[in-house]
Amino acid sequence: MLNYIWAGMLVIAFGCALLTDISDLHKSTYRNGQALPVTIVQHPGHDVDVVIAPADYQHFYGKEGKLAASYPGTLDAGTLKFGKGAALPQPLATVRDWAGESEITARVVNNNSLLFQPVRFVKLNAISNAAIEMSKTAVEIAMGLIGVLALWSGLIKIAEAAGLLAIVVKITQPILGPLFPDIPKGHPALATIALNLTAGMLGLGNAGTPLGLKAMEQLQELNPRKDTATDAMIMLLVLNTTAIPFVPSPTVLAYMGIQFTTVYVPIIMCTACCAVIGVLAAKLAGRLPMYRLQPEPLLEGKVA
Amino acid sequence: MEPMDYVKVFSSFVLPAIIVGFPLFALCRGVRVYEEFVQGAKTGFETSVRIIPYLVAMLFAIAMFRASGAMDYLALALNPILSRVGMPADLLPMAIVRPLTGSGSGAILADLVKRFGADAPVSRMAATIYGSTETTFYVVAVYFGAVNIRKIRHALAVGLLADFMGVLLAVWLIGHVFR
Repeated sequence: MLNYIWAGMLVIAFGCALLTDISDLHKSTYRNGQALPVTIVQHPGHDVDVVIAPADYQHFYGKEGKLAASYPGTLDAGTLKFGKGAALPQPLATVRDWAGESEITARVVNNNSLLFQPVRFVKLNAISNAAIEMSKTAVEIAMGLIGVLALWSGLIKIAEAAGLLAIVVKITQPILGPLFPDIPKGHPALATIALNLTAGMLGLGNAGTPLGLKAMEQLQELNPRKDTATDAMIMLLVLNTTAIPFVPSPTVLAYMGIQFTTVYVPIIMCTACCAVIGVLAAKLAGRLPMYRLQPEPLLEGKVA
Repeated sequence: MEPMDYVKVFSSFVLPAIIVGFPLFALCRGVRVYEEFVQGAKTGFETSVRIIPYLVAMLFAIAMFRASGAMDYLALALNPILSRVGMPADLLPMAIVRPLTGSGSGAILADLVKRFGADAPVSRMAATIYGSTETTFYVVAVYFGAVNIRKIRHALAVGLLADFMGVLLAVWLIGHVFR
């Protein structure tokens, strides 16, 4: 399914971008080849002030725009540059960003109007830029994880060597055991899962991910098919995404302010319901023909 | 102190307790703590490198999807259905983006609070969705990437189902129960 969703996202992105761009060309959203009427106030030297009348702007682009009283710029041999760092209304802002420079470059026509560079296929360029930018960000995210991952992996190794994980397993076995029937009794993976879920509930996101990844590695050791997810892995994932946030996420707190008190209980209730639905769905979906694991000789004879 | 404060105080003790407590406990049991730590930490580095291809694959596709404006078309198509269950049109981007990116959905929440105020139902619904669901795509990429698993079976379907139910529940809870 991931194959289809992934490819689907790419195809839909391309399709929507193309559709938007063609419709922009058709509707002439950017008025390519037409000149916008302006007033150019000349100062000594090359400095000028560009005044765009709101009425002209609306008439030209067919929509209102919040314009500044004037935009400082430079005029040199019929080429006007302006709008550096200024808050420009759409679609003028796109016209500026399109060239990849910090200001608009326009040709002055008849001393009273501006001809901008033609703008075409904005969205197609936007999706390629997004893809390139985000692939860099993805690596940065992974690199950012190295430190915390190393720290937590080290601590878990210590806990394992000291027999601490065995104690955690004993305590949490009655709760987690039934959810993870495939993990042998007393296996250290249960301890890591317990710590991972606790971290999630306490809002310790930094600690949660490394613990979760450690648990995944332990589950992978139990996995006979190394490229296929086991029921236990999927259960871990579901519990992770629906861990009840008793200590709230700082993002929600920051944005909601005092109003946070009105959503705390709904969030807890909502997450609890999602957890129940998720666990049931994971258990049931694992038995669907399309998702069922093919029985292996090694596993045969096991009671389902 | 309110009950909330107790939880916060407790949680600020959890991390130091683990980071100091684990090695201390192990030391008392005669474990060579430093050597064990370094051994374990080594695997942390390997894991981070292993997830890179999965993370790149997932995040760049999501970024392209968001940049293409596909969301606007989706909103246009889905709004007539969603208004029947009492879901405000402004909430739809939140519902779609939440499983895809954490920072993106955070920005949407901030935008809603700025436009409608934190006490508006739509903001509170968005906060509830943000608080109770997860960035499922990211979690799938990272968790399965860490162990090189490519056939994820029903993981994504179940995760998205939980997210979807979370959205419906959030709309219902804020709209009818916690007005």
